Amino acid sequence: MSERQMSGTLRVGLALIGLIGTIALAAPWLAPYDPNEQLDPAVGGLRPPGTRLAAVKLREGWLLADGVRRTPEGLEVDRRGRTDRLATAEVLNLTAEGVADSRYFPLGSDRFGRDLLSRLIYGARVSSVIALLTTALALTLGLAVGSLAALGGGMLDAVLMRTVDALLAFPDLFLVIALAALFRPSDALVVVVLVLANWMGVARVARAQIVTLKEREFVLAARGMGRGWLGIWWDHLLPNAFGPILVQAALLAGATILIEAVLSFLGLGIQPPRPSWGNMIAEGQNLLSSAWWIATFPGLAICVAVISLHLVGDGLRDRFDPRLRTTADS
Amino acid sequence: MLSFLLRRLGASILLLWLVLSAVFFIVHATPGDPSHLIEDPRMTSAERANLRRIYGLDRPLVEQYVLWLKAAVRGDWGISMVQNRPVARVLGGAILPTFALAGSALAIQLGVGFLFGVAGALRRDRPLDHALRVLSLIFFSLPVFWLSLMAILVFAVHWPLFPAGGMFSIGAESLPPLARARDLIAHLILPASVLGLAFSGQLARYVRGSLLDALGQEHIRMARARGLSERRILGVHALRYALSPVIQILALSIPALLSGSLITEVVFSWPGLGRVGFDAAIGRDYPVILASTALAAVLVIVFNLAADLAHAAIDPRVRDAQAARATP
Repeated sequence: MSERQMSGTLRVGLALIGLIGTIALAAPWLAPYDPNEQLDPAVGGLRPPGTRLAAVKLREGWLLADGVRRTPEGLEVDRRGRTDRLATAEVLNLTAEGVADSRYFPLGSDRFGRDLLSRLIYGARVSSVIALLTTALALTLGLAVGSLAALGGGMLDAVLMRTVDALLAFPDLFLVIALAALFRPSDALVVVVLVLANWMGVARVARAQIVTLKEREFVLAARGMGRGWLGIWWDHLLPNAFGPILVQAALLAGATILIEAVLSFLGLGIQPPRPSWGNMIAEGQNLLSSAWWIATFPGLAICVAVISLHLVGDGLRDRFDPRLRTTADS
Repeated sequence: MLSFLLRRLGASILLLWLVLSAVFFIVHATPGDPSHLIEDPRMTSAERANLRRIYGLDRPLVEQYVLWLKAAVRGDWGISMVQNRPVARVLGGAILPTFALAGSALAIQLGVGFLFGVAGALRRDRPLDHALRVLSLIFFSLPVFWLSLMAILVFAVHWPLFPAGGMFSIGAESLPPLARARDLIAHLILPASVLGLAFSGQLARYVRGSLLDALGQEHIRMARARGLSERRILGVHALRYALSPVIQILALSIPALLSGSLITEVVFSWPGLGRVGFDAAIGRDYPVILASTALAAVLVIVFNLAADLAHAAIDPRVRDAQAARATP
């Protein structure tokens, strides 16, 4: 296998992430309906996957029906076992057979008759944006602290790295939940809490990389030519430490998606009615016995997203750590 | 060895103090002052001032902090504002359930993790290895709270084999001890399996990796050259070599196990530390928030020290390094 060729793991992971990213970007065009559209909760609510309902347009809004029949006087509509009669003048989308519109729920509908697939697609937006933002910020913070520790050395290094170790040794969910519960829930809070809980791994990796790199000959040569540490850091240290940090970033993005989902599931993250995979699962929790699909599909989406990020992490690790490629390749 | 442990303990206590101080000030800096919990709109302002005085909320923040810290060191964690019981008693009742859950989960994690890891390493790059690696990756990537819900959906709702939540059935107090134990185990199986399986994925990956690493070492080739059986090589020589990094990983994963336990406890209504901490956070019961955070940190510290000891017992290199570091 040539050096430049990507491993299968990496390729599959990147393809899946690309797919999720595309879905997130193109959500308005991909989603069949508005994610918050509640046409007729009494009839459209809690429908299993694959349900198709006729949509009857009235002057004051929409009616959903299991079936419609055209009669000489107008329309007969079946609404959950009850049959109503509507006059021709009342129905605005009448055709020769019935009505012109319908609603199709490929993944079912929730309690309010909202289309689960549309909510899932818009939920990809929330997860992607939060994961991207958090990863970028945590990466920046971790790089800054790790580099400072590695270049500062001595006391500064000791203090910073002991703090990182201490934070890593802490059950983060206890802190994250306490923080999220004490402030009013908002997107900014979610990002801040996630960054605070996730920057330490990057700091550790960055420090370890830079500590070894800064003793290397090309860095000493740059020093000898009179370059300052800031320039060396930017030109030499950062690019050379890039690989392992990228691996860490992929794992971090996966962790972010998981914790965001937990927070939203517990009602401390993204607030309804805006769909996020976590709060969709929360909405399905109490309906588990009557409507299994509400909690199931968003969870699968989270799994796919996290698995693909882990695949990318694994693939990048194989690529950047030749020792692993020859011995353990895991 | 002893001085190494003492230093670790010192660093841990420092960490504990830092975390607690941070949580204390965050709790007191948040918009909703904790006093709103004990207040009542019908109270006169004199009564309100009196209450604030009883809880010490009228004093300057730094003074409150010092008083709280002094009491906490003595083991007096205050009184829960929601439950009106001493915090020590609220948490005391939650420790055993968490131990039962996290302990069983750890056992399942170790069993499945080693089984998958060793089997994968033995059948390297064969179909079984690939299947186990995919399975490990999936376990590793699953959201624990969702897996909990799916377990309830399948094994409590669809096939009602196990109870969907709680630790005992209603009226279990009156059962004879054996039936009570059986009731407890029936309630424990689902949450412990979910938690254990979710964490076994990562362990399996590490066991496999470090076993393959070990199999590539000189002393394994020596053992092969001496004509030892493959089973003996793997079971005795390679596994022992591989155990050292695995114990490190296990120690590092204990905070995550406690976090996972929190979410499992919330979904399964398991009356443990995580559930108590979560309810306290939602209800802004700030003495309980502080104490449960502290207790979680203490548990991690204790287990990390235990892992250090186990590590030193298994790996002579660690023992020597610790002794060398301790002497100067």
